[in-house]
Amino acid sequence: MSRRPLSELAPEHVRRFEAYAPSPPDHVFLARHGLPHLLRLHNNENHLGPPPAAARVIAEYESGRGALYPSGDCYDLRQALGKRFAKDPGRFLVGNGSCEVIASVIKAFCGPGDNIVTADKTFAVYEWVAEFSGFEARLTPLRNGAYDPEALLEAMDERTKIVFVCNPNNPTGGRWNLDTTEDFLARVDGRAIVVMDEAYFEYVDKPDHPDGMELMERHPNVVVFRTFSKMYALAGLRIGWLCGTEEVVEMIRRTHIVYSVNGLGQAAALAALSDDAGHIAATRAMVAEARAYVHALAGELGLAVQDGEGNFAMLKVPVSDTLLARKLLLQGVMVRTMTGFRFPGWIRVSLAPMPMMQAFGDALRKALGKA
Amino acid sequence: MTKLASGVRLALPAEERFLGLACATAEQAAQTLGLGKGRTLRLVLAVEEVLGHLLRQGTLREAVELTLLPRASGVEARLDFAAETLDLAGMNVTARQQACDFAAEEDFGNLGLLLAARSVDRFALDQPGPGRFRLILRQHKDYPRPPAPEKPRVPPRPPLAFTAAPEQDELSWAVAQAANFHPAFELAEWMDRPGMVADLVQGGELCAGLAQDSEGRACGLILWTPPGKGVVSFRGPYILADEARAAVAELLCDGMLAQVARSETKGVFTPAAVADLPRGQFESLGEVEYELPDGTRRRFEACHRHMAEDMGAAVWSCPATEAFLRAAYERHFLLRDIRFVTPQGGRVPERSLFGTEVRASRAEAVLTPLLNGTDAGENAVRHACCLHAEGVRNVFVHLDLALAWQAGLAETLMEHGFRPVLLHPLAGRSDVLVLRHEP
Ligand SMILES: Cc1ncc(COP(=O)(O)O)c(C=O)c1O
Repeated sequence: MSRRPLSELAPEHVRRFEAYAPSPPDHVFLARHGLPHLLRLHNNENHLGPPPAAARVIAEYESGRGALYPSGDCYDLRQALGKRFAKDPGRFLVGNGSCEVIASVIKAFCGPGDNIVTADKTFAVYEWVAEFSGFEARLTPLRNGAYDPEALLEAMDERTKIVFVCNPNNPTGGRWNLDTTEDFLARVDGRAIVVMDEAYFEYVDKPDHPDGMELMERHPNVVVFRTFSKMYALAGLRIGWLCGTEEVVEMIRRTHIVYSVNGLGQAAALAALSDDAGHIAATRAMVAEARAYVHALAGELGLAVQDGEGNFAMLKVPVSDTLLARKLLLQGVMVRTMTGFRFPGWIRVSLAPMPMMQAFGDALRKALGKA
Repeated sequence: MTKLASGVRLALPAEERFLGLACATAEQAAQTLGLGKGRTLRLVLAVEEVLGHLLRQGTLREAVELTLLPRASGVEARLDFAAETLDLAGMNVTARQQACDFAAEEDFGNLGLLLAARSVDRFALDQPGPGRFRLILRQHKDYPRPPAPEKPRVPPRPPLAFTAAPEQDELSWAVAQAANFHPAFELAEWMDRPGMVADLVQGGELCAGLAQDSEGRACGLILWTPPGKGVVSFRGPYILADEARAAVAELLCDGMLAQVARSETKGVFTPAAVADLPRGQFESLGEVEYELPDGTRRRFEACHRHMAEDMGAAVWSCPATEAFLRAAYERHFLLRDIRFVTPQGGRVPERSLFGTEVRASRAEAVLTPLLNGTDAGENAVRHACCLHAEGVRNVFVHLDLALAWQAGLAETLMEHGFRPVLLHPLAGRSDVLVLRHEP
C-alpha cells in the first residue's frame, strides 16, 4: 500500500507557507557570485586583528574548556579592569558586547512613563532598546557632528532617567572635549544617569579628551561603556563592559544577565588588556593613514567627508547610499549605508589597512563611473 | 496618535433570515459612529450584498461576525467567517459565463461580492488563517472638496525646517495648496479632501511631513504610510513655492527617510513620482499606464529606494518571468539567486483563491494569491473581467517571489493575458513581481 507523503502530516497552513530564504554566509556568497573577496568595511572593525597576546590565547585555547561554564561574572577580567583603572572590581559589569549592557541600564532605571534622551544621528541601539522596551526615546539633533548639550538639557524632564552620549559619536566622529563634558554634567546636576558610551575611546589621542572613568569620581551619575569590539578587535567574541559608582552599578547588577559572556572571550579580553600599548599605537597609525587616503579620495571624486575621531569616516555620495552600497557589494566591498542613521545619501567606511582602502577606492571610482 | 474607540460587534448564525438584522445593526452602528446618511446607506448596501451572497451560498461554517469600527476617515465594516472555499469572482462572474464577454454585462441579476466593491471606498479580502476569511468594507465620511485656496504671494523665508508633527489646520492648508503648484495628475486622488488627509494623519493611518519657513509657514508637503514590515508608500514631495524647489524637495525626502529610519521598514516607494522628486536619491522601477476613471490614460513612474543594505537573497521564478527578472535585477544591482519552480508532484488543489483590494478612485484592483489552485489563471481573468465591467480597468496581480507557488503562478497568468510590468524590491517577504491584466 502506498503511504502518503510525510509532508502531508503537516497542517495546510504550514505546507502553504514556504520559508523565506535568507542570504547565504560569506563563503557561499563569494563562490556563488564569483567575487574575489569580501572586504568588510561596514562595521567599524579593527582589521589589524587582536593584540598579539589575545591572538595567542585564542589560537591556544584548549578545546576541553569548551565543555565548561565560564565565570558567571567574569571574575578575572573584572580584577584586571579594576587594576587597570584603579577601581574596585565590583564596579564593573561585563556583558555580551556593550550592546547587552545598554539593555541592563535601561531595565534598571526606566519604569512606565519614563524616557531616555539621546541624539537622532547616533548609534542606534540606545533608541531601539528604549522603544522596544516601551520607553520614549527623545532624540535631539547633532550640532557640528557632535551631541548638542543644550538640546539634550532642553529635552530632559523629570521623567528622564538616562541620557546616552556617544563620545566620540558613531557615525560622525564628532566629540565633546573635557570642558563641554564637565559643563554638561554640572548642569545635569545628578538628575539622571549619564551614560558615556566610549566605544571608540582608545582611538582618540587628544589631550583635552574627557575620560569618563575619571569623571565618574566627580559626577557619580556617570556610567561608562567600553568594548573589546573596536580597538581590541574582539568583536566576534562579544565582550563589552560598563563601570560606574558602587551605588549605581549595584542597581544595574540586578537586571544584568550572568553567564552571558563566553569563556574564550573572557580569556582573550584579559590577555588583550595585558599587552595593548603597541597594538593601540599601531592601530592609530593605521587609522591615520587610512583617513588621509579617504580624504584624498574624496577630494579626487568631489565628495564631502564627515569624520573626526574613531576608525570610520562618512562620505556624501551623489546617488542613493543604498544603491551605491549594492554597486560596491557586487565588487566585493561592504560599506554601511547611512539612511538608517538618518543621513540618507551618505556611506560610512571603516578605516582599515591600505590594501583594503585601495580596494575600496577602486570600487568606489567604478561604482561612480569614474574609474 | 489618537487611540480610536473600539467598535460594535455582532455574531450571527449563518442563516439568511438574519441578514436583515445584520443590515439594521450596520446602519445604526455606522450612523452612531458618525457616518452621514448617504454614506451609511452605501456601506449597508455593500454589507447586504456581500453577506447575502455568503449566506445564500451556504458554504459558511459556524457563525459570521460583523464588526463596525470607527476609522480616522469614516467607518469600516468587517465580516469574519469560516468557509470551505471562497471564490469571489465565481460568485458572480462564473454565473455570468467564464469568458470575458463585456457585451453581456447587462446581466446584473447576479450581484456579487466584487460588485459590492464599487459602492465602498475600499474593499479587501484577506485570509487571516486557514479556512478563515475577512472581508473589509470601508466607507469614508463625506468630506468637502474645497476649491484651491489663494496662492501665497510671499516666498518662503529661510531657514527652512522639517516637521513630522504638523498642526491639523496647517496640514489641511498645505494639502489644499498642492493643487496650486502641481498638475492634477501628480496629486494623490484623495488629496482633493484636505480634511480627510488631516483626519487620517490624526488617526495614525497616514504620516505627513511639512517643510516650514522661518515663520512657520508651510512650503512643502510629503505624505507616507506608517512604517511597518515591507515598504512604505509615499506621495510627493509637493512643493508649495516657486523658489528653491529642489532644496525643499530634498528637505522633505530626507525628513521622511529620517522618520522611517530605524523601523522595520525595508524600503520606501512611490507609485507616482512627481517631477520634483530628488532623482539621485531614488531608483526608477519603471512606468505603468493607468486608465483613469474619467477614461483618460496616463503613465505613472514608480520609484523606490532601499532603507538599508541588501546582501542578496534567493527568489523563485518560472521560466516565463526569468528574462524580466534578470533584467530588473541587473538594472538595480541586486544580488538574487533565481531558483526555478519545478512541479513537485504534490497535489495542487483545484480552486485557487485571490485576495482582492479595490481602490475605486484610482480604478485599480490588486489581486494577491491566497491559495494555489490549478484554475489560477482562469480565476484571475474572471476577476479581471468582472472588475473591468465594474469600471475597474487597472487590474494587477502581486506575486511574492519568496514563495515558490506564487512565483509559479506567473506562467499561467501570462497565458491568460497578464504581463509583468514592475519588479518591486522587498515589497513582500521578498521582492514582489507585479503583473498587469492586458486584455
Ligand atoms: C558607539 C557604539 N557603542 C557600542 C557598540 C557595540 O559594541 P559591542 O560589540 O560591544 O556590542 C558599537 C558598535 O558598533 C558602537 O559603535
